[in-house]
Amino acid sequence: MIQPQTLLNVADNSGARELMCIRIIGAGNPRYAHIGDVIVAVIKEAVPNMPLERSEVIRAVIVRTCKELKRDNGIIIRYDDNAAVVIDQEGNPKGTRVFGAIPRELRQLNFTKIVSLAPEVL
Amino acid sequence: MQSIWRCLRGSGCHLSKSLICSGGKAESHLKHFLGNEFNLYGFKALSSNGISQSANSGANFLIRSMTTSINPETSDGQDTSPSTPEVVHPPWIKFKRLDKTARHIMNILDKEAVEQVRAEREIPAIEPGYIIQLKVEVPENKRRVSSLKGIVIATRNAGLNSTFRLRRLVAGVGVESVFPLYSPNIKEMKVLEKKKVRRAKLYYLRDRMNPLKK
Repeated sequence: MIQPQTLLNVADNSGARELMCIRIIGAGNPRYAHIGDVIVAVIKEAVPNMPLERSEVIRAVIVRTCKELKRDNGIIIRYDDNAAVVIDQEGNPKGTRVFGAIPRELRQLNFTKIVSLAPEVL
Repeated sequence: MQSIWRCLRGSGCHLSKSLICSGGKAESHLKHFLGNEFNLYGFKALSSNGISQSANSGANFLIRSMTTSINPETSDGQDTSPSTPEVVHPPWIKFKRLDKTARHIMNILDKEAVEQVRAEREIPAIEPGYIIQLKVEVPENKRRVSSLKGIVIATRNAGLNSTFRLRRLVAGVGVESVFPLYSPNIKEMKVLEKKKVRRAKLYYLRDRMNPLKK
């Protein structure tokens, strides 16, 4: 349940370290964002000497939340942190590597590049 | 004898007939109350000195409860008593309140479903603090069986919907998953180790085993 002002870890090597959500993309004024939703975020902390810098406004897709993700077969998954992957306008990740576990639902939402880079797909 | 019948018949409890029949063996009847069907043929075995006993004991047993045969769904067999030499009562089946009956039936269905699953697979007892290895089949992943290992931090007992919560470290991130215990996707379950814990829910491990916390 990510909302504006939420700080998120970054799960790739695009250069950002921490993002703050400022808006959730979607129709109907969504209150919260879950796994698989695209958000607009500002970079609060960045790794030096990388293409992305601090206080840049970028888009990201949420890949891990502390709020549980429910599946139809009764399995519920809950991560220990909130994390996102920085993407561009088309939905392709800006980084070349992805860290941490990625849930399987991203594949249905056409983020196949992220899923293929993931070290572990849950 | 007929006066006993009439005074108890007037009270409207159709069970009184059968209770009088087995009034001679009242104590044993009460012990097996929940297990057996009523013995309607006990009337024949009633002796003469058992009549006075049954007058008192039968009145004590005017219990307004449902018949507790083994299979409650066929409990309308009360009116099939052939050999009563007295007046034939119209068949009146008295049930418990409908919601109590429904709850009872749901409990039985639940137990049957659990036994059915337990007969197919061997499911070990799972307590918080066990370290468990699971083999889960993932239908989206082209039926690949993945193996998960983690510590059980909570269990919830709810019949067929019993679940347990497994905490593990996946690629540097802590992940907690809730699995239904009787899920058909769980192919195999093995207990690796049992840790001594003094709690039923080990949520304190979230602060201790968190690699991402600064």
